[in-house]
This record gives sequence, structure tokens and C-alpha cells, in this order.
Amino acid sequence: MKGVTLNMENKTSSKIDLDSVFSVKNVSVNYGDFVAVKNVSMEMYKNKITAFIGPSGCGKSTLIRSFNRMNDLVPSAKVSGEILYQGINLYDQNVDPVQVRRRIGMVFQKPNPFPKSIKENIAFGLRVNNMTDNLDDRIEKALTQAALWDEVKKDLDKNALDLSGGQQQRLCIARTIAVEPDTILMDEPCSALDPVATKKIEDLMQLLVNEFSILIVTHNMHQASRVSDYCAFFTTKATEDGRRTGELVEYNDTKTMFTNPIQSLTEEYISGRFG
Amino acid sequence: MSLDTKIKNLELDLFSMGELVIKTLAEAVKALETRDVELAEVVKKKDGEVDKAYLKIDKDWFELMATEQPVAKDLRLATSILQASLHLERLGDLSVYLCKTTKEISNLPIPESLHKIIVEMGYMVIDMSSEAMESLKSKDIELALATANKDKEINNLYNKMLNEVSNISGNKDLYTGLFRLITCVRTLERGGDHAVDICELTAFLVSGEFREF
Repeated sequence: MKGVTLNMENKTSSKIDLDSVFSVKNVSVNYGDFVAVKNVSMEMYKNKITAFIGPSGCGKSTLIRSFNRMNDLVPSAKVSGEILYQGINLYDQNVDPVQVRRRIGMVFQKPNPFPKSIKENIAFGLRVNNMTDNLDDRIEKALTQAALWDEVKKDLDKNALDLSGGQQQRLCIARTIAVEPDTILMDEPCSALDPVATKKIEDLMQLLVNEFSILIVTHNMHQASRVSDYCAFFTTKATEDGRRTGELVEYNDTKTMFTNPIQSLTEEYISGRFG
Repeated sequence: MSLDTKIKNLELDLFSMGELVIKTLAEAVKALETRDVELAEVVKKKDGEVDKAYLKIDKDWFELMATEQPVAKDLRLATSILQASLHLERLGDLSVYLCKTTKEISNLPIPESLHKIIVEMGYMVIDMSSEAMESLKSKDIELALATANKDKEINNLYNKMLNEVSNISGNKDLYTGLFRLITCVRTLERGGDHAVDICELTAFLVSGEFREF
């Protein structure tokens, strides 16, 4: 597959500086006998935003969910190949999936706060992970990092479901970062939000990337071009039985992807001429 | 109107602007060659059309950016069109300058050898501009490179002119004429540079990488 290796010809110096967070080698994800995404190999980098783009059903969400073992919760799901996270095989039998999910947090498409107070939404994960020392400070820090503190500091006991959609999503981000992960996975985090709330999340991502590595799945190509440093394009290909399997087409730095992509399929997709 | 149609229209506008600019430039050089002041007056007035064509491309490009946010090849093409139109507009200004020079030197004693150099440079700029636009139209990097290389010849003629002028002695009228010629030849030399810049756009459009020729 051409173009899957990062084109770093003009980035010799940054290549030296970039630390790999995820090293993905020949990864396929099956649901029963259905291959959702196959043979993906790529490196993702520390303190960078990597965006996954592609049409519906191309396996980008399936793949990102295998990065923090969320697919373990789907009985028929099977991940093959190797996913190294900071050098550790995520699917090694000695690896605790609960610890994986603390280190690699996730934010979903629809804001999903617990039907509890704002404070409890943050405190819950902290208690589960035995991080209850300085609880109030931890809650304030997480809400501040998620750019929500100033808006909610006087209403911490208010039900989280009374917040606006954008605030709920930032609360979910606060909940994720409260347990001090290294990486945040975001699965279409703005698709249920209006442009104003989307802008706030995108601005927030630019701040968070200083401390975390971020992977975002998005249907919004302009969002991918605005926020990401690296971008991977996936598509689906028909198999013999008529079903469709996701494949990685091109992975490159975002500037190259949106100005001079290597693969014609990428060009067609990002310029709206796909299919 | 679809993105494809909008970009195609921009392309068509650019190439018709190119034809207008090169035709006007050819007439301006002809006026200078034949010392035809009347023709120069007529040609000079055509610059309004060139400016109008440039403003239309500028406006349509701006609307395209605002409404379509093109990426990849579309973005490179739209950007190349805008930049090429600016170079064409400057080549249009060169025609005006040649027409003004034709008028200014009409009654001045200009040495034939120098007049010949300036006319030769004029034809070379026409040739380069025409080929530069053809390279952009056919997305032909080889032609762009070959055309850009011709700029050396223009630069040689420019230097030849400067060397010859310093050896000439004469009266006030002669010096006035020489001064006009030198400023005109400098403008022609810049005309060659505009053609080279258009050639660079061809390479950028095709390869996605900007490089100086």
C-alpha cells in the first residue's frame, strides 16, 4: 500500500524529535467473521493531534476503539496484529484493560455525562481509580483544563444534564482528563455540537495537546484540516461476499494531505468528489 | 454552480486574460519597433480591459475561497490562477510603459543598435509570456523549465544595453532618450521575470512544491 508510511522527507529534524505513542502493526479488527478494518500499520506521535477521516463504515471508529480496548466489551470483536502503546503491547495478557482506559481516555460523539452533579461526574472516575486525595483540587484542575471551570465553578452541584451540549462535552473531556491519562481518543466529539461549541472544543484541543496526545475521528474534513498535525484517510473496499472492509489509504502530515495528497483516492475524498 | 464549474470558469477567464495581455504586448512592441505613436495611443487604452479581467478573477477567486474552501489540486489551481493573473496584470502595465516610451522617444535621436536591442527584448518577453501561459494551460513542467531558462537571454540583452549606453557620449536630447530606454529596458527585464514566475506556478500546480527557477 503506497503512502501509508509517513512522508517525512522534509521533516528530518522533526522525525528525530517525534516520540511514538501508538505503533500499529498489521492490525485487523473482526466482528465475528466480518472484517471491519484490515491490515493497518501506522505510527502516532506524542503531543500531536492525529485525525482519522473517511466515509461511514471505513473502520476508523472501530480502529480507535481498539486503541484503548473498548472493543473488549463487544463479545464478537477480535483484534489481530500488534498495537504497541509507548512500547507495551496493549493486548498482552498481563495488561489490565482498566489501566489501559485510564491511561488512554475516550470522548464520544454524543456528550454522555452521568445524570449526577457536575462535581460527581468528575469525582466518579477519580474514586474508581483511587485518586481521592485533594479531590476538590483535582476537580478544579480538570474543569480548568477543559476550559469549563469559569462557567460552572458556582454551580458544581448542579445536574450535569442541565448544561448545554457544548458544556456537557467539555465536562466529558474534564472527566476524561481528571484521571490523568496520557492520550485522549475522541470519536466525532463535535458532531452533535453547533459551530460555536465546536470552536470551543477545537480551541481546547490545541491547549490539551501540550499535555496529551490526541486522536480524533471526524467526518468534518475542515475540522481535520484545522486541528490535526497528522491525518489518516480510510476507505472501504468491497470483499468477495459483498461486504465492505475498511483500509488505510494514506497517512501523512495534515498540510500535505490537504495541499498535495499522494493517493488519488485521498484527493477525491477531501475535495468532495468521492464515490 | 458546482466547484468544478467555478474553477473551470476561473481557468477560462485566466487564459482569455492571457491572450488579451499577450496580444496587447505584441501590439505595444510593434508600436515601439515602428515608432508608431498613434498605434501606441490606441494600445495604451486597452489596459483598462486587462485591469477589468484581473479584478474579475480576483473577485471570483475570493468568492470561491469563501464558499468552497478548495483543497489539494483545486486549491493549488485556484491559487496559481490568482497569482498568474497578477503577473499578467503587471505584463499589461509593461505594454502601457512600452507605449509611453514609444511616444517619449519619437523625436529623440536614439542609436539604432539600442533600439534594436529593446525591440528584441520586447519580442522575447512576448515569446516567454506566451509559452509560460501555455505551460500553465497544459500543465507542462518541461515547457515551463525551458521557458524560464530563456530569461538568461533577456538578462544578457539587458546587461549588453547597460554596457553600450555607458560608452555613448552626446547631447542632452540623446541622454534624455537613453534615460527613457534604460528605464524601459529595466521594465522589460522585469517582464521576463513575470513570465518566469508564471512558469514556477506551473511547477507548483503539477508537483505541489514551490521552487524558484
